[in-house]
Amino acid sequence: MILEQLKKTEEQIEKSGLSDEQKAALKQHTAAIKEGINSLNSDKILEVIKKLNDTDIK
Amino acid sequence: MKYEIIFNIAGQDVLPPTNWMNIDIIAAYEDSIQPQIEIDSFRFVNETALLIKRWINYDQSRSNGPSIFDGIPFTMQIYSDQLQKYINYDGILDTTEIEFINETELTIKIKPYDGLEYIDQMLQSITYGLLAQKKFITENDYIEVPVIIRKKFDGLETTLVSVSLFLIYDTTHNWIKENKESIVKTFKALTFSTPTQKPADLYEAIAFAIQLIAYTAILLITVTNLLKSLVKNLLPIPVKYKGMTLRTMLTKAFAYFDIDFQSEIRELDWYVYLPSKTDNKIRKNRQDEGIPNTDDFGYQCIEALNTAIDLFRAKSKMTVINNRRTFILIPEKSERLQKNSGYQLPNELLGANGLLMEKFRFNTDEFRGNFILSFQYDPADEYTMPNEKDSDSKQYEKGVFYEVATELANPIENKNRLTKGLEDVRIKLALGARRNKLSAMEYAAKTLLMGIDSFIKILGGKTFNEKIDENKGKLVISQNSFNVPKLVVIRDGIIPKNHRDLLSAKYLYNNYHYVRSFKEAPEFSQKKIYEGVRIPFSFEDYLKTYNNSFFEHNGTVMKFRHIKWNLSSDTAVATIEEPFTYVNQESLKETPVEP
Repeated sequence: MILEQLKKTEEQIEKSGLSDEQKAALKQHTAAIKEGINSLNSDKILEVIKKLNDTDIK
Repeated sequence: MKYEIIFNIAGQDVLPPTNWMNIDIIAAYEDSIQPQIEIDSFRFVNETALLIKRWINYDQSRSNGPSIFDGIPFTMQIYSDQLQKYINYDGILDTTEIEFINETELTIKIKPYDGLEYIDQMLQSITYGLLAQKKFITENDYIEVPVIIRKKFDGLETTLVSVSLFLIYDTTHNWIKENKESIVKTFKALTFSTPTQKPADLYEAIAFAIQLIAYTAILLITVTNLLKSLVKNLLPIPVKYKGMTLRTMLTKAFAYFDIDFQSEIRELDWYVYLPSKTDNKIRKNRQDEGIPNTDDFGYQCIEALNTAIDLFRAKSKMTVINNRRTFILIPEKSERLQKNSGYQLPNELLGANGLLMEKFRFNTDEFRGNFILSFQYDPADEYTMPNEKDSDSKQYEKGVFYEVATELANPIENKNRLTKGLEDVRIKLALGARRNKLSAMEYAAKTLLMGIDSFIKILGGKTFNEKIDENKGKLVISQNSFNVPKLVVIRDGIIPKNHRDLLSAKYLYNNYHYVRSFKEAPEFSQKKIYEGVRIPFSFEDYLKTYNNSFFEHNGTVMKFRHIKWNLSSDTAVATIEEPFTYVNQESLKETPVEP
């Protein structure tokens, strides 16, 4: 279910009017989460949360 | 003198022993098809005595060559008028049984090459440790026995762990359920966002959704990993121990003496001897070997043979097949099916009534009022100990012991009863317990695995395969060491479901030991015994009966029990048994006893 949600999120990112740079940044996070889920490695996902928290949204 | 005899020692023809006319050969067949042979000592003098002395080299005049522990090749060539040819008797002069009478005279024993007594003594001198060290036993001779180590939990332990597992599962599942709704709501908000929404707001919303997914994923991964590690610790540990089939053990032991081993007993291929497992630090042999430990019953090769003899009520025999010395193990139940010796009992021995003789006794001394066949318990392995409350242990207990009491069906008076005695067959091995069903702990773990699978489903990955059922058919032990070597049935790499139908005290009784029953198998057990029968006996007869004590007489298969023959004489004194049912089966009652 979570992987499905990630897929939908990626589709939403693609359809959104965000810049290519923003789209690429967000997709990098979804890819990292997928990888973490597949390897049951929570550290990789924690990294995503940390990066998102640190992002200065303009 | 009927025979011309040529004596040959170490390839040289020598003068006959001075006492050869008085030499008695005693063949005792009690425990084997082939007799234990006892031959009087031969007395050699002068040149022949000197030849023997030189061979043993007791004065150490030579620095190499044979010594007192090298038997001297010995042949008697006996001319048979009947066959019109010489017949060879090959053996050794047993230099360890020599007595020096004086300077020019000595006595010495002879032993046949294929004598059973000789074989027993040879097997006593070797161990499986020696065979492994000399590479007579290699890795290819081992059978892998799949084993799971499953501690027996007590009730309180099981309950506490089960409740804890349930709480972890339930709490986590509820949390997921609640957050699942939040994620869905967020996504709905994102999907139906308005076209006027600012890019910064949209970016933030998507980033928030990703964070939410990330948090949920972390929680699920953490709980999944925790539960998996918990399950791993609770589930039995699968390992593989090495053992050997009984046939391999016996084949290898005989091969050491360049003797082939043969047996029709099919269980020898199924029954695997699993050495005891002591702690690694104190284990005396190497961990990767399937040979018995030094203190296991079966470490000495003779013990392995005796175990097979006891298990299958077997008799032994040496013979020559394709020019190879061959040791044959035959169950008592089928020894009569062997080709008989061809010995002919002369008609003049028959009594007036056409029967063998008029003087005989019955073998009532061989009747036993009780018979017990048992394997061992092993306190180090809880699955091989009696436990009324545990079905696995109860099943073990049932297989490990079988008793058959034989009494008079209707005794005239109790005080006059003569059904007495006991035959006690104790196998110094334990049996194996098969992992048949899930323990309470495994049931709990199985539920937990279903929970883990449901978390993995939420994550979207592949579900965790249930591995619990894969352990069926393995040997189950309660800890990684046990003290008594086990005997287990292995077929196609696992312990078959019906292993107790193939190996248990009851199975062995019903398939092999039943021949001792005066009620169920009178054709085997009840006999007439003729003692002190003087029979015409020649060297040809000796050779005929040496490998086979059975002979046919008037359609009945009879058996020599004992023959005393003088080498120079035409007659022997024999004890002969004839199958004869003298107790009506109905007058006996058998009571099987199982734990």
